[in-house]
Amino acid sequence: MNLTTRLETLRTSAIDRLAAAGDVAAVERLRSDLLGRTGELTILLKDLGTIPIEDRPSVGRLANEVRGALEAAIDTRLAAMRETALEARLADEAFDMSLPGRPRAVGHLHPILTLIRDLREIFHAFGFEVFEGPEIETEEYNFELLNIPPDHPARDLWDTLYVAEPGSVEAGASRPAADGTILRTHTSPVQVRAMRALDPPIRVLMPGRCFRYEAVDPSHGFEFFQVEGLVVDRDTSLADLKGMLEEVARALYGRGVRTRFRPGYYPFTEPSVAFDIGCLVCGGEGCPACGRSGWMTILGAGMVHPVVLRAGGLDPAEYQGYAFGMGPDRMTMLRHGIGDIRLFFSGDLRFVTQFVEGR
Amino acid sequence: MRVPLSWLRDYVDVSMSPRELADALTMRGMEVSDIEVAGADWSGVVVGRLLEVRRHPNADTLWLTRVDLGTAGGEVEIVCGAQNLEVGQLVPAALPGAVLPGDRRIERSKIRGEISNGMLCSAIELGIGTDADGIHILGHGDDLPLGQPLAEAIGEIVLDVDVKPNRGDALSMVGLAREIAAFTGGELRMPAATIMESSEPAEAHVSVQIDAPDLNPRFAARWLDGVANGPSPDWMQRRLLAAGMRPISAAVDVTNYVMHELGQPMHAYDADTVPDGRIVVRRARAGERLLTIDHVERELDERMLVIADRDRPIGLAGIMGGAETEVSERTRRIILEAAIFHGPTIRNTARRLGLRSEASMRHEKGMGHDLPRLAADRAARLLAEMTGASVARGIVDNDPAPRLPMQIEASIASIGRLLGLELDAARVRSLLEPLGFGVDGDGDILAIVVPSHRLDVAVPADVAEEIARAYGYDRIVGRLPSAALPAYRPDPSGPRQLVRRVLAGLGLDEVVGHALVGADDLERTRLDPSGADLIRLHNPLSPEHSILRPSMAPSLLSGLAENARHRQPDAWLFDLGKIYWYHPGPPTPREQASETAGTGRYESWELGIALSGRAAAGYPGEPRHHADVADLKGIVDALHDAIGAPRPSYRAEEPDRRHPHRHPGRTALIVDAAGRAYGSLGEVHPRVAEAWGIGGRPVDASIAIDRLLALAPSVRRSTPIPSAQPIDRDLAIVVDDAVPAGDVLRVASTSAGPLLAGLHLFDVYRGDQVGRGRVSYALAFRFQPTGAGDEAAVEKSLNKVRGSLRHHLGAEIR
Repeated sequence: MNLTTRLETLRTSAIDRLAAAGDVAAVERLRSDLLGRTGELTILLKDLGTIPIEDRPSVGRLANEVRGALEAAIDTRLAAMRETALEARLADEAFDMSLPGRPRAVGHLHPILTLIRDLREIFHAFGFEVFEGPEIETEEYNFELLNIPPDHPARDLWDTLYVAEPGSVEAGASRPAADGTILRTHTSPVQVRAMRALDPPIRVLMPGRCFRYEAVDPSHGFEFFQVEGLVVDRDTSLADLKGMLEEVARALYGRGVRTRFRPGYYPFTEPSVAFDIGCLVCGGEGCPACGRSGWMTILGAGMVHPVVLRAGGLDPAEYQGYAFGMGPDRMTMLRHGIGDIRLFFSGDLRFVTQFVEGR
Repeated sequence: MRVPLSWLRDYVDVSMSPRELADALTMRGMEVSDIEVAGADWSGVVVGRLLEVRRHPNADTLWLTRVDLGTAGGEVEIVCGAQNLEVGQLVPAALPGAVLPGDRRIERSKIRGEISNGMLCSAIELGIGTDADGIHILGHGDDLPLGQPLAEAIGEIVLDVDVKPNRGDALSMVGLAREIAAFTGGELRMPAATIMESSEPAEAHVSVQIDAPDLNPRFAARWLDGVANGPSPDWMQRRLLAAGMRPISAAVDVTNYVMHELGQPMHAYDADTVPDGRIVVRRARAGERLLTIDHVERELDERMLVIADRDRPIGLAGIMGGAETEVSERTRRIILEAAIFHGPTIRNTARRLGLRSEASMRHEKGMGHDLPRLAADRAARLLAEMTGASVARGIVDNDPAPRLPMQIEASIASIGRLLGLELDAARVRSLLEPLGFGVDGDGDILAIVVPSHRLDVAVPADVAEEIARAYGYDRIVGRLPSAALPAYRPDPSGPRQLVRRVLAGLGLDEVVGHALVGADDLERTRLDPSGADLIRLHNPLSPEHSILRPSMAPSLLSGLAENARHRQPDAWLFDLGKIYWYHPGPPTPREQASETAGTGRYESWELGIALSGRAAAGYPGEPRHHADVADLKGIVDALHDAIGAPRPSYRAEEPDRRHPHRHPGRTALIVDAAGRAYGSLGEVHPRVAEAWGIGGRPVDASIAIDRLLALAPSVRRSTPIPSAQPIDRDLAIVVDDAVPAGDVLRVASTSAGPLLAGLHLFDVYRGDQVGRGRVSYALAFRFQPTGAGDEAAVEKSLNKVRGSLRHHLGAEIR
């Protein structure tokens, strides 16, 4: 049998043996038996030297063709087998996709602090920077510098928690600190601190915790937050204040919000302003939430009183501006429909976890 | 202040509806918080006419009436016991089902055998007077439509007006009428105060000696004789009740009426109880006592102002009279007082005694110099009309001369600039004159003459507010923020917002605890509640909130305890708040970096983290993992990574004075590269957890947040991405069990040389294979070669690591 015939026979028998190979290992064994270093094709080609020199190119071509064909057939067979095996495995691996996911903890932010953050962003767009002041204040900053002298009847608006003179409580004879230290009843003292620390034009937002001697009920607490704003330059007017507050109301409560800008009273502003929005509960018809007036007061404001400007080291003949104070506690209650202010300080996760990123 | 509309209308015409009037007043700064109808609590009471009045067949004192209820039900029979009934009278008839004030329900009933289809009502039953004897007669004939609900027929509309503390002048009917007249263009009708005086001179019967002129700038007194002090007329009683005052007798009612009418608090003394009519106004003497008309004996001190006779106090000035000089039905002669007292003194006395009243409130806010005399005259006139009294000639008055009005120089341009309005002199005049201001001048500077009742207007800014009020806040056109922006300043709260978001991202929930805690909280936390560095309150609302927290621990533990109470044992939470302490003397470096108002009290932002139980719900078939110190360290490390601060080292330490609430073997300080502690963490001491009622083994951390933030560089420098592949090598060592893992890692990383890119401990083994008292650590190193030949350098580094571990820690290399 000449070499050509033997090659053809090998090809034919190899295809049959490949078909008979039952698994990947048998196919790999067959590849080695046929094409390996001591494989049948390799051995067969050792006889190439025995045929006439002129026949060698054609037989050589045939040999390469057979090798190529066998390799391709083996690869195809292996790929098919792997595909079948994978399909079988996938069919076997069906997973109950209705099982719950492995829980990841997602934290929640406190809604008041998130509202303060949102206010910060809104006011930031208007050029306001955050400025902070101490919670433990002096009567001077909390009252006197704000045009509220001792015995001013308006002091009743801010029932004060007084810090005790060191040692006096322990001695059983508590008395207010001789240096007039109190817990700030509002963020307004920060106005004076900001004016003293910064040069006009001043445009600051002053958030923080405040304290009042106030019995606790669903809408009052002895600790609460305020966000104060202050603008001082040469010609900022009551009309600017009105425009600013209207814009803030739109940012917070939507473009369609109704607003009301009316006289108010604070010793540290003149003229003073109370700012209302149409009741969010009844839409202005009048309901218990708005005292049947159709309006909800969301902040107090006014033009900084000349006495306060002077306390801040500024000449009222040269500088003027406005201040406003907001109650984020109440605003948060309105925003989320929260009925009890005490939840804010409770630490109760059933409350905090209701808010996504605090909103 | 409660303002009955019909009373207000005595002084000014009001054509607006009550709602419109309320809105207009609110827009002028006198906020109307409510509009109520006095009598709104009469339901089922209608106007009826008496058609027939005859004796009850079975009772001598009762009447059987036939009443025409008109549209409300035709003719019905009602039994009545009153003795003032006449056919033709209009009467209030409460029908079956009616509810009267005090929740009194009326039903059809049988009275001595006769059916009564309701009840005829007296003034006291309707809550509009004190007369209990007779039926409240509404009129005769066709005065009112039959069957009309009584609330519609005679109900009084009452505005609840919130007058601001600076507007004492508006705390009266006349004061509000003056405002209304100004904005409606109407006319203010002042009440009549002219008097027919007798020939008897008042000064023969009354003298006033003011020993404390600083506290009593004005005292006006009138003397009246021949008083018959019965009840005041119905109309006055009705008005007082609607305004929230209880009618007492003509003399008392007149003083209250004039107070509400004009804003001047008044008092009437039974002149016969004041020896020689001699009144002394002076400071009380310590230990003096006074029985006030509420029959409470009050102990007085020198801070209080009293009205006295020659010997003893007979009244607390501006607050309440004394019982011994009180008018009664037997009173024949009266001294009427109308005075101005020092507001702060009245306020403080009223507060000290818990006796704030309509009168003291008005004194606190002050009144114009001219008011007392007008009020004394007005009250004397009313008393003469109602009680037949004769008014003595003259008025005893310490300061009868009128005051020169205050004048304010104001620049129109400045006011226009403040308000954002275009103004001129004519405009200012047209806005201010209706409010009683005088306006002199035509140039930029105007002289504004302030009416004597306006104590709140003293500087140009006050004038500006008057102009804005008169112009209308609603008519001011808002301007959008203009461009005068300040220089950029970084937001001090910005990094704290980042910390909040990072911690929420790590799965922690944010809570806000009270800054005010109690001694019990501190004790439960093993903190010393008697510490001299604590800041205590003088007037706490309760002992539970009387001390500013010196550490976040009580707040955090209280949060865990709160959730434990609600069967929520799994709580991973944080609180970013302040801690507070007292330190007299020169501030420490830490205190220099803290906030303070300069009083030796310091406050500093502090991050508290507390973990208890599981971070998230468990997964089926997997073991439950409960929070431990390693979780806490992982969170603290991750927080550092997220804000770009280098990770801290943790120095095991016995719980110190500031963290006595920790497990003594499981607490560490959080330390920066320079060895300075800026926080601590650890497991909560089991006794502390127990005291707070927290189950399991909670852990907590506390970090001085400003110190942490200062460790993060504001900008990170980029390094080139290396082209060479990293080389990973593992090393296993065995050391004595007493060697802390932290030391192994520190020695390994410091000796590994500059190519070290990562090092972590991936296994810890104790057991037979390493022997007793020994521990095996498996370390994974990743080196980052920078160029060719670095492989040899890596092997050299590893050898150095082996050597150092052997040398410093006695390690055996495996």
